[in-house]
Amino acid sequence: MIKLFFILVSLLMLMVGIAFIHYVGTSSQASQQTLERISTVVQIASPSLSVAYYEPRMLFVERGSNPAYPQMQPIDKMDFVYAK
Amino acid sequence: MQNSVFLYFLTLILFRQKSKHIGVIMISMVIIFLLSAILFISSSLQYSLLATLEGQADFSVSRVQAGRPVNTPVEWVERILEINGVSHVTPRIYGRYFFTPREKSFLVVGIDFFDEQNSKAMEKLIEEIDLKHFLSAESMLVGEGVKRFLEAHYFKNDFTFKTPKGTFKKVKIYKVLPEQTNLIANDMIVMPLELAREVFGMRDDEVTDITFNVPNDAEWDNIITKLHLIFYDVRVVEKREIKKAYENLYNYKGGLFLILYLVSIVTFMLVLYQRYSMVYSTERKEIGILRATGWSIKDILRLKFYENLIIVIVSFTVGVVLAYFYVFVFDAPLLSQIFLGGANLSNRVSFIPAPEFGILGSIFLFYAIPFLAAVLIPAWKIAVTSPREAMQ
Repeated sequence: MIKLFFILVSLLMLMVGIAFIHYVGTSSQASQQTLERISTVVQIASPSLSVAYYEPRMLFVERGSNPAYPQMQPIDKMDFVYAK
Repeated sequence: MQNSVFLYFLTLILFRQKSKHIGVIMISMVIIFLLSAILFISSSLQYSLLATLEGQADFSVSRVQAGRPVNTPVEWVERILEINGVSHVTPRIYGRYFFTPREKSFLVVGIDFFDEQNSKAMEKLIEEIDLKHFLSAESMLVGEGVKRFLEAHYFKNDFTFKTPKGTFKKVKIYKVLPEQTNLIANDMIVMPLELAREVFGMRDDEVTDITFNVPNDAEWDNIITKLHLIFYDVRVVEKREIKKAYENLYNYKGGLFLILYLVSIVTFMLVLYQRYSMVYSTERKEIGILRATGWSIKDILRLKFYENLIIVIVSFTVGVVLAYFYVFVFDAPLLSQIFLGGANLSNRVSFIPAPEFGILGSIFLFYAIPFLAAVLIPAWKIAVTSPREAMQ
């Protein structure tokens, strides 16, 4: 049973090791630089939210409005995720 | 020697009663996996967005009418430039173009390609771009999501915009923006400023908003006051406000999910406690036999502690590592839609690994302590009773 236990521990260590190698080996800097470049050029830093037309696409810059009843509370599903 | 006997007995219990443990490990793993995946996504988004925010202008101003933003007069640029301490005043043109047949929208952004800074940044961004060739015809750069959508609707090389004046504008798709920009530019169409103005039917003396920098931070509040004195119908958005919101937003989100996590973990612990404290004859018998063979209460608690610590470590490690692969290798299918939405163009974002190890440590403690308590307390209750009573 001890052998089985050591196999289990080795498997766990292997999993952690693979994740660590991925973490160290991923060149996040290049991706981040590309992202920063496009953001600087277009001067937009809001994530590309896949939202309906009447919901704000640009976080904290645009405000949503209800197309049928503009005086009503705006419809914005992302409010559940992003606090303002 | 004594330790190896203890280890042997411990592993014997673990593997002989594996059917009992597998259920607990699976439920724990799912809870840890979900929570870690959400935290990985939010920390990655926060890391990427806060870094991109650094390159943004300090302020953006737009005109408001009846509480709603409207086009801003371009002559405001000159008036803002007259304020002392202001630099890099840039007019922006952007907006959403609604593709009625499919009820989808694109974010059209007009940029000044004749600006040296912009053109250099664009050349760095897309290596093969030839700006002369790009500007020689009415062309645009599109995000991956837009490209996929247009291709699916037979717009292979160009797209025809319908302007508010009722005319049609055919624009060539020059290049696709790199995949790494999907987080910001998935639904984006980048085109020259004048072309964007034409697509939105804006007059020559109008822009969407105006951005500018104030290099001296101490002047920021003063500049806002000045702006409100010069313009009465203005809305000012500050970068520091957005930065604060980005920080709060993820804290809030982390908090919200933490509450949900606590609810689920408390429920799970209650179920676990209930299960272990129920009169399970095998469990009681096992502890009774150990007591009868001379094991002290301390030894029994030590055995139960290590037995469950292994379960905790296994489920936590597997849950976290699986969440890591799910988010950073497979790009978090389904779960990423909570953060980025799924009502418009589909977005495939590659998350940059930026896990917060401090939070993971806290999760481990929040998970391990109640788990061990939920198991050890009933075990201790049985262990303190006489072996004969426990075995009955």
